[in-house]
Amino acid sequence: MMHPRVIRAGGLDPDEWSGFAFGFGIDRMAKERHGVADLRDMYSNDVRFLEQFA
Amino acid sequence: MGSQSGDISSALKEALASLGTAESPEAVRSIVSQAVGKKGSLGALKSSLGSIADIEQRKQVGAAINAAMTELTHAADARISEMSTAELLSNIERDRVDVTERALKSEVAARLGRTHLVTQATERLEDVFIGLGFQIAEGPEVESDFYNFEALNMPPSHPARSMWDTLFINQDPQGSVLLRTHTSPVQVRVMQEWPPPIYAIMPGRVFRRDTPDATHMPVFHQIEGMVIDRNITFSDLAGTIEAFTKAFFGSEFTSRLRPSYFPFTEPSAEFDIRRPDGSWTN
Repeated sequence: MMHPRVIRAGGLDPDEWSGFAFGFGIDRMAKERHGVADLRDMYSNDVRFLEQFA
Repeated sequence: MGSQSGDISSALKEALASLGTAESPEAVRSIVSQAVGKKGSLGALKSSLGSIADIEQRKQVGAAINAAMTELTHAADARISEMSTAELLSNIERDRVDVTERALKSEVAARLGRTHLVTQATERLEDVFIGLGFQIAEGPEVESDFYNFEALNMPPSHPARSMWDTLFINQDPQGSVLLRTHTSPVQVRVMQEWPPPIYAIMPGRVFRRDTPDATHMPVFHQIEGMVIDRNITFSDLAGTIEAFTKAFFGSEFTSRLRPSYFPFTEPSAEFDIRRPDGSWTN
C-alpha cells in the first residue's frame, strides 16, 4: 500500500485517497516467459538469438 | 415522314448497339463510317432524300438523319474515350512497380527486422494492464533526487537509499541529478498531474551501477503500476497481481505476496509467481 508520505508528495490528501503500487522488471518477466537462461543474451544483439522470438 | 423516321431510329439503334460491343477504337470508327457512308444504313437514307417530293418533309427527314448521325458520332467519341481510359488504367496496373516485392520474395524476408524481446514483453504487459483499465504514463530517465528518492519517503541520508546503486549525473547536496534507479518517480509525477482516481502503469528504462551477470544488467526495464482511489485495500493489490499473472503467463500460473520492505509502501510485499510444475520464481 502506498505510504501516506508518498501520496502527500504527489499533492494528494492521504486521508482521502489510498492506493497501492507495484513494480517489476520487464526483462526478468521476458526471461521467465521465454526461458532465457542469461539476461546478457538479450542484449548481446546476436540476431540468431533474437530471431527466435518473433 | 412516317416510315423514314422508323428507318432512321432503327438504323441508329443498330449502329449504337454495335458500338457497345466494339472492342477497339478502330472497330468503333469503322462502324461509324459504315453507317454514315453512302452504302451504310444512315448514308443510304440520306441518299434517298431526293426521292421525297415534299420539300418540307424532305427537310424534316434530312434534319432527322443529321441528328442521328451526330448522335452516333458523339456516342462513338464517348466509346473511344472510354476505351482509352480503360487502356490507360490497365497499362498503369500492368506497369506497377512494387518496391517491396523484391525483398518480400527473396531471402531478405527471413531477415526482416522485428521487435526486441523486451519490446515484445513491454507491449504485452501494456496490453494486459490496459485490459484491466490502466492508462500508460511515462517520465524522464534523468531524474532529480527529489523524485527518485525524497518524494518516495527517502529524505537525504535515508539508509534505504543504499538499496539502489545509483548512477549520478551531478552529485549535489542541494539536489542531485541522476539516472533514475526505478520507475517509481513517475508515480509522484503522475499524482501531481492527473486528477484522482488514478489507474496508471509506468514502463521505462532504469539504471543501476551493477556489473552485468545472468540476472543483472546496469540498464534494464521496469513496469510500475499505481492505483489511487478511495477505499483501496491490500486485497485489491493481490487481485491485480493475480489477474496480471494469469493474463501474462497463462491461467495455470498463480501468484503470492510475501512481506518485504520498501520505504515508499506500508505494508510492503514482494510477489512470486508459481509455475505449473509447482516451482516458484521471484
